[in-house]
Amino acid sequence: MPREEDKAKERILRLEALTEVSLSLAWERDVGKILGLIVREASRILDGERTTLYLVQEKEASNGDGKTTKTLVSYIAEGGLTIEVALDQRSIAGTVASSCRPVRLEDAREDPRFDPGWDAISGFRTRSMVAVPMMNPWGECIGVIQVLNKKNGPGFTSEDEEILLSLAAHAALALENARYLERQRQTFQSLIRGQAVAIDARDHLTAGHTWRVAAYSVELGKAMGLDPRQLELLEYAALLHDQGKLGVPDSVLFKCGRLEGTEEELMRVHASRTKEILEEIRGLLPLPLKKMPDIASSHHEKLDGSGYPKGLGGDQIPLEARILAVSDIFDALTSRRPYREPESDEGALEFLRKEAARGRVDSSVVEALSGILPRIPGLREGVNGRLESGSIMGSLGEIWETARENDPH
Amino acid sequence: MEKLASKVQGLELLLKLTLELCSERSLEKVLEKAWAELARVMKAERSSIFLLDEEKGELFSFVALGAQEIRFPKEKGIAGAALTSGEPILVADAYGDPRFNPAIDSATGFRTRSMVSVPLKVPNGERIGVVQVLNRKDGRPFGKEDVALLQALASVVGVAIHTAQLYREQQRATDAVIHSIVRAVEMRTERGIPHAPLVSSFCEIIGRAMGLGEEEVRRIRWAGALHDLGKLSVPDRILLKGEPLTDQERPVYESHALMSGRLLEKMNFQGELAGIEDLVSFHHKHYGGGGFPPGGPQREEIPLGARIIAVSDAIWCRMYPRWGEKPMGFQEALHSLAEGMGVVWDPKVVEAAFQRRAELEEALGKSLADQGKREA
Repeated sequence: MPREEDKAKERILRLEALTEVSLSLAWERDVGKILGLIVREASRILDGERTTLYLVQEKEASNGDGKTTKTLVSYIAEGGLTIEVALDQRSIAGTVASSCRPVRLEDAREDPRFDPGWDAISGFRTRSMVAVPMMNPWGECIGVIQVLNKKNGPGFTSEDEEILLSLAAHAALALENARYLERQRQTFQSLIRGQAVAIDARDHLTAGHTWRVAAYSVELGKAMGLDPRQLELLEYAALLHDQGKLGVPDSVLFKCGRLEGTEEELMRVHASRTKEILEEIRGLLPLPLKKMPDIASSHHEKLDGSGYPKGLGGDQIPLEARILAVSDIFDALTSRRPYREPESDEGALEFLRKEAARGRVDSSVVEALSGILPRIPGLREGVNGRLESGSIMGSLGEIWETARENDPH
Repeated sequence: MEKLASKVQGLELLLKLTLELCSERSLEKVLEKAWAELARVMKAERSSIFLLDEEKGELFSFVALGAQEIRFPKEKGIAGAALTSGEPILVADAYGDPRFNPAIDSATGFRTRSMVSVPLKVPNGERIGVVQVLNRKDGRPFGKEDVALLQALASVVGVAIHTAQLYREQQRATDAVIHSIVRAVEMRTERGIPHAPLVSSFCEIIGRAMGLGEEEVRRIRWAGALHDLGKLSVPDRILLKGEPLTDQERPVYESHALMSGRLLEKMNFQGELAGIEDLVSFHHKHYGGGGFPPGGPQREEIPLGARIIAVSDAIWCRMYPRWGEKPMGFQEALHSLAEGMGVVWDPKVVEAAFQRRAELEEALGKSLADQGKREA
């Protein structure tokens, strides 16, 4: 029966296309690219003129009681209009999402749920339609794929519907997985950014130092042409560079000597503690972040070998650490201390130029700093503003003071 | 027609396998499933999955899959040849092939006859490991169709493994930073014995025993590690005092639990760490409503994570008392909790700890050994 054989061959072609797309979807980590892929491939495999993708979104109710409702929001690859519909029987997409069942129509315009308003605005003329729910592996509908106007034929077939359902399942999984990975990244990033709060809680004399150093370092890195991966590494190392302060005893941290203008001992102790701790976690870090401990713990090394904790010199100090060293000194000089007024940005730059001339810090980093100097006040305000508004630290100083005041001594 | 039908079946199977493997988020589960499916679909007596350890330049088998871990240089054996060349290798008689490494057979007691080895290639061209199937069940050697089928399966398995590896990498990076914070904080407080890392392991074991999901267990484990962060703002002379605190000192010390919570709140964590301050703030709250901070939630209103941290913390504190009390052994410390069940501790949590005593003790031993290594 050649007719059946043709059908089987056609089915194989479509399944092959679907298999290929399912693998591309499983591989793609970027939500935006996944959405683009779904829209493109749905039109291609089903031979449709246009595909609209709707995603279920949680929305906070406008009366502000914190309750969320679910709506469907459209995503169209070519930009265009954003359509928002309720999850109910009043629209076709809403019907599909709320019933978790597909809808197939030879002429959508005859359906009372079809809203001709969108065709009027977009200039598109809808005829046939197939719409399926995107079911995730846990049985929830997270969106709707709707393909419009079958190119060669009166409408979409039950085979089309079946293929689209399978594509929708792969699409839903890819989307859930990309969101999950994003959530893991967000967890890590918020941790590494947030942990600096603990450093400030221990030594609030230098509050905000960690974030300012991170902000300056990233800006310097950009000016020096580091790629996004290096910038990420640099930011994380900057955020961890003073972590050893958490473990410095009170006798060193609150020593009167700091009032005499020397933080030398504190710096030596915390730098070696930072190094010791970060060495321990190296094994847990993913490959792109393996250098983080070296960078974070080398920010007190000097090019001429006179620094600590290792006394490294020249090329032994990674570029990221040399950038970190310059931002660290720059922020220390331009910050207020109980025993001295802050240095001006220009004055601090002058000091660093002399240090570079003496062969202690990297002169190319110092030159990059002079290039970004006009942007420094903005970066500083960004961090200090967050400190004062309380979005980062809020009343940390106050918490800390309370603990000290409660202390009978 | 029959050939066409079997082709359709093959493609449908691949689509199903993609959904099944990619919906698993733990690497162990992906590997277990893939391992079983490879042997089943290929009608082979056994399958193997070797992953590439790029740092060490080795291929290794996953412990959970059958026997112990097997490790060898990434160029070695037929698996190594497949990885290096990036091409599949079909061997009809393994012992007749000079590249074959009989060490694995002698370790597992299996006798390999014919085998297919296919590199696990992901779409960016990276090679992340090798899959193998050994001995066709019908006794015939593997053929070309088998190679093609295994290649198709391997493309799915590779993407699923790579994805799970990414999740694991991110989670381990989070583990790393939490560990570094905890270690830094404990440099001031610990007396040779790691506290928070062990409490964290106890929390994980108890959370699992209580049947909580992976993500919930992870959150409690992380909260358990960070539960004493507030000690940062307790002065050394109170924190490190070797004898009972005075009435003036006690509230300063006790403020640490709430302080931990407030610090964590200020850190503004997102993702899976969002809201863990609630688990931490109440780790010294008693099930019956006592403890500190005074007032606040009681019984089931106390977050389960906080109730689990409380029990984990108590076991440790009875073994290594701070202010001159007599130290207890592990078993004694665990049993001593029976007294406070329902009043101080959530009885369900204590029962879960009793149930998993062997695992808890093993974690304790491991933690002490790690500390020994650090000191050495």
